[in-house]
Amino acid sequence: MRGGGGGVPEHRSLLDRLFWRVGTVVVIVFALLPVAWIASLSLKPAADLNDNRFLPRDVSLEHYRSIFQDPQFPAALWNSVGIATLSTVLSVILAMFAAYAIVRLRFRGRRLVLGAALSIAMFPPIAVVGPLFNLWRNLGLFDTWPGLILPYMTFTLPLAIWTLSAFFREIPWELDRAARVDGATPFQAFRHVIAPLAAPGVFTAAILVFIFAWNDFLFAAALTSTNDARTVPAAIAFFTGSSRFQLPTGSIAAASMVVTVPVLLVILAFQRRIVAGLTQGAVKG
Amino acid sequence: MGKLVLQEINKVFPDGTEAVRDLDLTIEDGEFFILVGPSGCGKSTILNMIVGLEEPSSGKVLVDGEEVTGLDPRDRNMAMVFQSYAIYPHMTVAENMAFPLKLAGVDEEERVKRVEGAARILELEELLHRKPAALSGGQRQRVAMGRAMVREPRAFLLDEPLSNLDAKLRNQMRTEIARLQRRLGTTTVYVTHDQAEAMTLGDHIAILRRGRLQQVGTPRELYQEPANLFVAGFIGSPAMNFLPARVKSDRLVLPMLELPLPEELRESVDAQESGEYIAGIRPEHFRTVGNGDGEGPSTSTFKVSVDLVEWMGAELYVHFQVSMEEAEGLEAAAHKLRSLGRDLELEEPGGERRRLVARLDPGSPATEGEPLELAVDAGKVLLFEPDTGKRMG
Repeated sequence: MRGGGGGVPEHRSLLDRLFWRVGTVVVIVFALLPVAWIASLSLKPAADLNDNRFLPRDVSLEHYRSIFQDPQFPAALWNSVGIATLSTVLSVILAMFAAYAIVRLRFRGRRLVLGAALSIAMFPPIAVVGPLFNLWRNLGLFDTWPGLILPYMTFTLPLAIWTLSAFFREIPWELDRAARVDGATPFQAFRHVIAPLAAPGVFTAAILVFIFAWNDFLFAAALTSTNDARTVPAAIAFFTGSSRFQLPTGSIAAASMVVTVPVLLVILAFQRRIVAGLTQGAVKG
Repeated sequence: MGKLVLQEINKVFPDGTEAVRDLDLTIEDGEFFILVGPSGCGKSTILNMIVGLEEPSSGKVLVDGEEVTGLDPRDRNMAMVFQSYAIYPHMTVAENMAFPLKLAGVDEEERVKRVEGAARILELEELLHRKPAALSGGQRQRVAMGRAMVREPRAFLLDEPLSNLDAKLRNQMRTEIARLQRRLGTTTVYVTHDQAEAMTLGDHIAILRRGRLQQVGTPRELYQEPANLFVAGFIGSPAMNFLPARVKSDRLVLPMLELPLPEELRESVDAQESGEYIAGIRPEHFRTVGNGDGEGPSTSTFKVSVDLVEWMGAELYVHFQVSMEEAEGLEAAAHKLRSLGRDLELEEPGGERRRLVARLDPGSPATEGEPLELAVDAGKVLLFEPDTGKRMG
């Protein structure tokens, strides 16, 4: 992780650097402490759950084994992966077309499209959940993958369009013309020149969309009822203990870890691709 | 293998801007042809129409007698160097240069050979594996040239290729481009707004203003026989001096002196009834009259007070002013000159005094704030029709 101190120029005073380093550490610890607590809980044997220790005395994988033995969790994981991935792919592809058109073409209502997209993003999701519930049941979309993919796309497209149009705006128009003169068809120009340059924007948008869909609880809880489409955040809420007098704390902690890790991996994998300034050197500034 | 002909080209943009009007141009095979004019004169639009990035609203583009008007850029085999260079930032220098060949389906071996050949000519061999971000401005410019060269195109089109470079590098690249063009012998169309660049590079130059062709000719023709006031004022640095003038029985009356009317102008001037003109005098056609010449004061010399002296080493630029007040009967011509000058955006309109520049020998005694006696080379004075700006004779 890039510490705040790393970017500070050499000539800053020692006190200044110390301040940034300490500040960074405080923020990181504050943000990661709950995650560490959950990780610790997920590794404790059931009997030790309430021992008030930060580090587990004995490490056990029994909670992980138990959530994967219960059929509802693997099904939920599969739903989560499938729904989040499909939402991301569809949303980013649509947003690419929209953003490219908004940046490159001059048409009436260009600003209107952007404004309308923004207003959708501001709409509180809770306001549409009730109507959607009824609508989806009449349309047969209730408790199906498309039933979740559609609202996820609706709420993430504006964000993706805004992110991507900001990136496309940075790509010099002349590169596209240069490619055309060099003998490329419009599609080849897009594929060989524009798309590689837009890649950081595409990855950024994809990560944002994926996280939204992956983490969503509201739609997942309201618009699903069985293992057919219930995603992990909703499924965790339906976890039960081994007896009616026991809280499923350990299982919840283990399941939380299982859903956090993929997101972390995705971000770490793409982090290096999100490099601003990739277009540097295309044109003399 | 690359004679370009533009026939009756018109270009009107969707928003109604008329970019090019009634343009006819012939660019001979192997020629270095320059399109020059102030910004917004349509020169880049013309280039885009030749290469196929834009369609003319009417008219034809012919290459070697074959019409290419509607063709896609990829079917025209022309190479272009953009003002911003437009090299692909995610590709190395070698990949940039090989890109057009790759699209044309040239095989790997041949690609490497041609890229290396071009890199050798442009001295880019050391840089082939670098990314554009790691290159200097001049190197990027050479990469753009290299990418254009490897295809062996029918024509090179260069759109202000040097305007992003600093002055020293610009001069160096200018010579390099000229040498490269002679060596390759490829038809080259070069767009610039810099008249000095145009004059030094071009075999032929087309001067444009607001989408209309003003004159086509060799640098010498444009300098010595400009078709109109605009061309006369645009070409040459320092710019030509303009003064209101009147013709009175074979004598040319200027605000500060009278001159015999040049022989070759007499016929055409007689046809003009009004007798009012605009006179154009190049800075180098002023002469210092030395005290020891023995000529003495005469009607063909005049005294000025020197405002400013710029010492250029091999010559002096001497700035002085000429009052319009004592010029009798020149008011109408002076007024027309002012409005024409404003319309052509040639210079500051000037009020009761006109600022002139003389280019003198460094031995001249000109000193700032001191009087100086100057003479005009009468045979070199040009006359322009005051309403249209057309040159007489």
